[in-house]
Amino acid sequence: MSGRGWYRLFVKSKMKTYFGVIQNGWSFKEVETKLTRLGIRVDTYYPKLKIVKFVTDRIISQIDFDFFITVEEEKDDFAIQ
Amino acid sequence: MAKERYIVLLDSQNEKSIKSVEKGFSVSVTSSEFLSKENRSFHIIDNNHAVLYKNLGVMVVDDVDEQLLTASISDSRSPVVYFEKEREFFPADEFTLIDDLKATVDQLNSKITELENFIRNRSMPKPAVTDLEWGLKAIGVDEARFTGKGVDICILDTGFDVSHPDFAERFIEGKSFVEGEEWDKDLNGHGTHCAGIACGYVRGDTGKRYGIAKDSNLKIGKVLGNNGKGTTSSIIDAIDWAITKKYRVISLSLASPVKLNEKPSPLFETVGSRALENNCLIIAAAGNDSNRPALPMPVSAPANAVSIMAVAAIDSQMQIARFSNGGLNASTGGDINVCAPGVNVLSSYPKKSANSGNYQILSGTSMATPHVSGLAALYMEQYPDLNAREIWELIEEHAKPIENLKYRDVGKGLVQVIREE
Repeated sequence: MSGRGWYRLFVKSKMKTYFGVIQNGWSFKEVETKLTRLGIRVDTYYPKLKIVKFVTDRIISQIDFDFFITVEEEKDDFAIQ
Repeated sequence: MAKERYIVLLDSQNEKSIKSVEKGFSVSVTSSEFLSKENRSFHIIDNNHAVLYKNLGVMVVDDVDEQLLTASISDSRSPVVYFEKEREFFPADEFTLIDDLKATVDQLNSKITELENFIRNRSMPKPAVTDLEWGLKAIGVDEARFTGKGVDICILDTGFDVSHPDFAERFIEGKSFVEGEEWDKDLNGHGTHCAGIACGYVRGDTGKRYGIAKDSNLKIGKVLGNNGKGTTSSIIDAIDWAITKKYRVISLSLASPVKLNEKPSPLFETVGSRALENNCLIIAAAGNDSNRPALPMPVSAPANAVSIMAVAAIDSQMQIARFSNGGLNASTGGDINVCAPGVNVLSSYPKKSANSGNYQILSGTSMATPHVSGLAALYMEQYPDLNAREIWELIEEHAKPIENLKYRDVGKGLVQVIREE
């Protein structure tokens, strides 16, 4: 395997969790279908918040999520104050 | 029916005295001189016969009239000077004594239990609370007529020690959003402390009050691990759960630091807005990243979202806490809304060892936050028709500005109980 191949393998294995806030006018079903077509797995849907948690190894800045108001990567630095 | 036997002491054993005894008590008296192996005392003594032990001056007699004996003591003509009922003596066997002691202890324990049940169950008013922690006085809890009755307050933190004695009679509902850790234990202690401020009442040992909304319904979501750290996932999971359960207040004594000029998270902005739309008020700690006066830091996430109430901390001298973050990112959001007591705050704490107590003094915007959450529950009980957004407005409206402290650091000021006219 070439050096580039090893790099791809490394990037692909780095799954990240994101949160997308659904735009008004979109249903979760529609969003789920869109994400599936993009090869992205839905982890959780929060109906009261209209937020979708999804997991992907893709670089999300390169994807046009027109059905989300915003997409944020999971943080792990919340702590007691 | 068993006969009573009496030991009677005579002051004289002459013939006249003996005859007076025989006549007075209708018995014949046999002297102990005539006792033998074949003629033992217990063969002789009955209600007609007594035995006189001459060397002792003692007579043993069966079943005589006790009143007669009593009367004869005060009769100067009678030789009787004293009498008592015969006693039973047993061999002093150690194990018999121990058994007797055990039986006595059992009886005593049973009496103590009976008394304890009586005291616990009697309908007497509890002694009036005479003293409060400084933070409660500062926000006017001593004048509060409301107790948060029926209002659901959800503390999203490190869990809660349900074995804490001050909460023994409370029904507490909870859920863990941290894998492998339970919500009803709190190995960290932080969650139990925050819950105590918002929903506790008085110390079991001194009776001093440290909690605000004593009749609120305490709900626990464990979103931080025992190491005190957590993720966006656990917090969002828990907020969605709390809103679905229709809890009215969510208290977040947690934060993630932000940089100067960093914009608030649109995710938490949305979460706060959706919570308000669902009649739920999210109250969050401003964060402890400052080192005042030289280095104030901006309000952390998620408190920097404009749809989430941000709480700063002050001390008992009405000074901003050294660590309390401020509204440095005002141009992008991230203002402080109100402040509350957050330095040297006493509250409930898990008993971690035999030598440690059930209480702990902690400082942080974490401690200030549940003061506002508990107060919000009092407001919600007082004004049941107001929605979460209106309650927020009312909290800010009644907050008291603090002299010499900037809006940037304390927002509208120190939160206050609404005193009814």
